[in-house]
Amino acid sequence: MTRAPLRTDRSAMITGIGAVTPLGNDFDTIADGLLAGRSGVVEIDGAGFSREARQFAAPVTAIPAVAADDSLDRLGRICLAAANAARADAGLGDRRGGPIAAARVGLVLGIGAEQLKGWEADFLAGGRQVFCPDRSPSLVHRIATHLGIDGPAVTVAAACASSGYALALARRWIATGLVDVCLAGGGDILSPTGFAAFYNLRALSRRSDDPVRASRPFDRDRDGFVMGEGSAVLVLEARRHAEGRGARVRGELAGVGMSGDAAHMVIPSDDPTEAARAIQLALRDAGVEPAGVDYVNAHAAGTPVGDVAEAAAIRLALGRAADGIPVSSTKSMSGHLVSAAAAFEALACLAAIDRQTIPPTLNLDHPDERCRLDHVPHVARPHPVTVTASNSFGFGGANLCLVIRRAA
Amino acid sequence: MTTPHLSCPVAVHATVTCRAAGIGVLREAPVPGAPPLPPRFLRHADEHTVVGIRAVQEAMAALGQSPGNPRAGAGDRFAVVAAPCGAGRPVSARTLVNLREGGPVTVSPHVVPQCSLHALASAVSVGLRIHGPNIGVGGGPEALSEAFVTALSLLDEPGVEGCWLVLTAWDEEPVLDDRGDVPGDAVCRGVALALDRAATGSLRLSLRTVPRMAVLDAAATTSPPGHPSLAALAILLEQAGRAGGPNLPGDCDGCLWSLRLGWGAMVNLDLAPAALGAMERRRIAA
Repeated sequence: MTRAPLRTDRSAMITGIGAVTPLGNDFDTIADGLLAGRSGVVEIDGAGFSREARQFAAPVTAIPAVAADDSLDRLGRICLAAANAARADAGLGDRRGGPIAAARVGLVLGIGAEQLKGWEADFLAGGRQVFCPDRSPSLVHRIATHLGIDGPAVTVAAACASSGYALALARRWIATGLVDVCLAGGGDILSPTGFAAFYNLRALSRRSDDPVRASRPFDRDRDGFVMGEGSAVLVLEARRHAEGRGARVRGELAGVGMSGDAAHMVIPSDDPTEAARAIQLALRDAGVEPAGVDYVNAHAAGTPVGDVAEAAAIRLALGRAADGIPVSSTKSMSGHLVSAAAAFEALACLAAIDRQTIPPTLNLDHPDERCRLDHVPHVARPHPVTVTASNSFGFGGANLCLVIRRAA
Repeated sequence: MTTPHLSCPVAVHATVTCRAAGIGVLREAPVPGAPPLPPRFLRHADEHTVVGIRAVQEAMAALGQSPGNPRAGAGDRFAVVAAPCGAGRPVSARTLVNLREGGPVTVSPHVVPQCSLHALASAVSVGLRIHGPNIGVGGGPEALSEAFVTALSLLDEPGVEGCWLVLTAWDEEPVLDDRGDVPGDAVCRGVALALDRAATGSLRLSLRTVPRMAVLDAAATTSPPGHPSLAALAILLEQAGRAGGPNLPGDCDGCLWSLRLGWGAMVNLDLAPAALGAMERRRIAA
């Protein structure tokens, strides 16, 4: 059952979507891919990435060019392309005219290791930035300048939940009146040190003989996640502002819940209390009862420990209602986009709402008995979807849940 | 149009100043009166994390020493917003040198959890058992201004009872040697502010937007002009703790410190006049 929705003039409506991902670079292509069960995981050249000669990941294959992006590195170009696409999808103009110049606009990007990846790219190309101070502006400020965004611009990081926190902060800015419109999301790229660090941490799947079947969240034979890369950016807009300009509304970011495990820098807590608390706070924030949730997009990356912890948290948060709520992990198709994962999975929720169909969990051949949920294995499931919940959990015990609701 | 105004009392603050040569000592030295960290918790931590988490512990110790303070030892539901400016550079340099010389097998699994932008916030949360959200902010030269707007915004999130705002930076970004080591005399500072709406602190942090935001021209950036210095803020906070209070700027009525943000907002750190000279703070010079 759903309580009376808490909708105000300053509710955060989603009016634009932009993405550069392993499954495509626009909403319809990505939604088609997710619902068709298409995997973005491929073999890549492992040289320099790990000890394995054969390696696999879910890479971005094409980055749309955006004018004036010559000064940006790969991460910057991916994020700029996604943000620019989101702006265009929302029907916002640029500073030379159109609605974006008349509104108070902000930008929040979840990027977990911008500086590290910049130093790495420079070093591997023969540079010395990592040794010498560099005071050039952060990516979020450079992208804001490119897009003519004149409001607050912030980079946030909460490991694999980073872009979810970006969306949460943008929603808060809209609620407090700091901005009318905010572009929010995140980005990440494959990089040698990141890849090697996760590999050496034994967090990555080692199923190199069968890449497409390597990402298998909730399956009893899972052995880690598959690295991905990309960017997803949403345009959030105050309801009154969106209605005032006749914007197409794709959904509402209706609730946010956040908490910290405070248990370990890497391993999720085996006590599901705090992760469940994030889900419960988000539902309460949205005015939604557990039985009112139509779909849970799980964080589930395919790690042995993390998936069990999340299943317990979903059960604790949703109680008996969990028996009848479809759950899937789109990381089985996209790989783990790390800093961009939460925003990409918000996009997956919007796809479920738009198509009234739940995307599947690929490779879920034998569901782990410790992860008892209403799984959607292998193929998409037609299902009425009005309210979705999307979980994101990161290193350092960062827990986040976003409730995304169909636009009224 | 209303002009948004975000504001919160600062229940307690602390600063830590440490030369690079002293980081090793600071890594192991407990803070008397503060909740302890797990054993060897900072063994793999970045310099910013060491200085920042010690600043939070100093603030907690000071809070615990305030008679009748209802928040002493509390803060379990506080958010942690941490803005380390340029964190992880020495470890990154060492990692990259090793990667070039020895290949991927040399890359430590600690690089991601300990050197990413979230590392300081996560360490404060995990090490001091704080169950609110933990978020890294900034990372670049604009970190200070990004941290203030983020921390003040998060105070309204459901389940968040307050916020530890942790800021760290080198006074001057050090030039590393070819192995990635920092010169021993480089100074790293940490500032911790406990934002607590229920507190009656001697400081108040606020952010106010101007009535109409200026649209920037093509040549402008959204970065704050001149990149404010954490060292200047830390020194003012330390002065504020001394008898007689700080030397306030002549044009600032009760305002200890202010920061003009490039997008049309002002952050102020205001003094409660009656509390001049009686502010809580601790300081380590290692």
